[in-house]
Amino acid sequence: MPANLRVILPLLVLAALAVVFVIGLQGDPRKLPSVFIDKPAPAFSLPELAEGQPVVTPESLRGKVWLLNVFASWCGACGTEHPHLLEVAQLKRVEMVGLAYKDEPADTRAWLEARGNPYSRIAVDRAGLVGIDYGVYGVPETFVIDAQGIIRYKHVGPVDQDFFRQHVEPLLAKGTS
Amino acid sequence: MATRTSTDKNSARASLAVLALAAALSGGAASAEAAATPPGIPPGTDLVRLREISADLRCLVCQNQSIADSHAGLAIDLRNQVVKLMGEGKSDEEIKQYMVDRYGEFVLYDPPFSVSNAVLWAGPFLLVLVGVWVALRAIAARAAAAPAAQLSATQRESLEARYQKSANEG
Repeated sequence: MPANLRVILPLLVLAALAVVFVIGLQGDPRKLPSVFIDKPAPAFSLPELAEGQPVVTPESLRGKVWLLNVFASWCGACGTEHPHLLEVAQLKRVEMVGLAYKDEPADTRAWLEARGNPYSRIAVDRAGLVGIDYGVYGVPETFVIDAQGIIRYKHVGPVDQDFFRQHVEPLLAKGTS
Repeated sequence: MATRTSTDKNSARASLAVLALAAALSGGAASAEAAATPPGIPPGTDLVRLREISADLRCLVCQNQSIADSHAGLAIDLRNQVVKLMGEGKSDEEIKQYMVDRYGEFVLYDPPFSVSNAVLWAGPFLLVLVGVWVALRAIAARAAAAPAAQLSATQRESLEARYQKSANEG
């Protein structure tokens, strides 16, 4: 091995490792690939937060694109995404269903009264069992479900202002054509 | 990997056996069992089996703890779900599959060998082989390039003369 290669080779290896590690650090280790993409939304039947309303089921939403947003009053990041959910609700282009995850109904109500309610329906999952069926591990999470009841996208963590345009609008366009 | 898991299980078994023995000695296994059962877990649950299954399941919120060790809310929910499935007579494999169906293979601490994780399983062995190969090559190259150092005749004479001189003086 030529002497200068002896010096340069370790540096090259180090540089290559540095690149690999920098790329590795960009990703969020809390974001896991979901096993639910392109699978049917698991069935559930949960009471509606508003009393006297029929139970909330995925079947009742068949035929339209809808969002399932997992939230809770105790969840700090839910407050961060809330303005963006309200923006999406104002567009009135997609049905947004809330899943009040492991939350006291009274707390959920107070939280929504203070911030505004973007949801057309709110399912109460006090025990968090529907959350388990949907593989929820970090609230907030948002599922995009198409007219056939298939989960097309799952967002872990607060949604941002580009969420609707990037992940919901393409499905809506597909539905109308 | 396999040996580590079985040692863990054995030590879990052993520590529970010690607990059971202590309970029997202190009179009344039932009272001690109640004390050892974590809150929210129905009495009569096979705690050894629960421990074995949940030690293999990763807590999704606190990623470096198993759900056996974690007190995070979701971990407790998942552990209760394991208890429920055990009560329904599900096998260990069925219970783990239930979790994988929801959270993906990531939830298992001992994931089965598959194409997507082949590099992780095989990588260390490949690295050892590469290391051995590099070492053998380096040794062979050194042996070929550098025969034992030889003194020239003049060097030898000069050294011997100095040695004689110092021996005479001393």
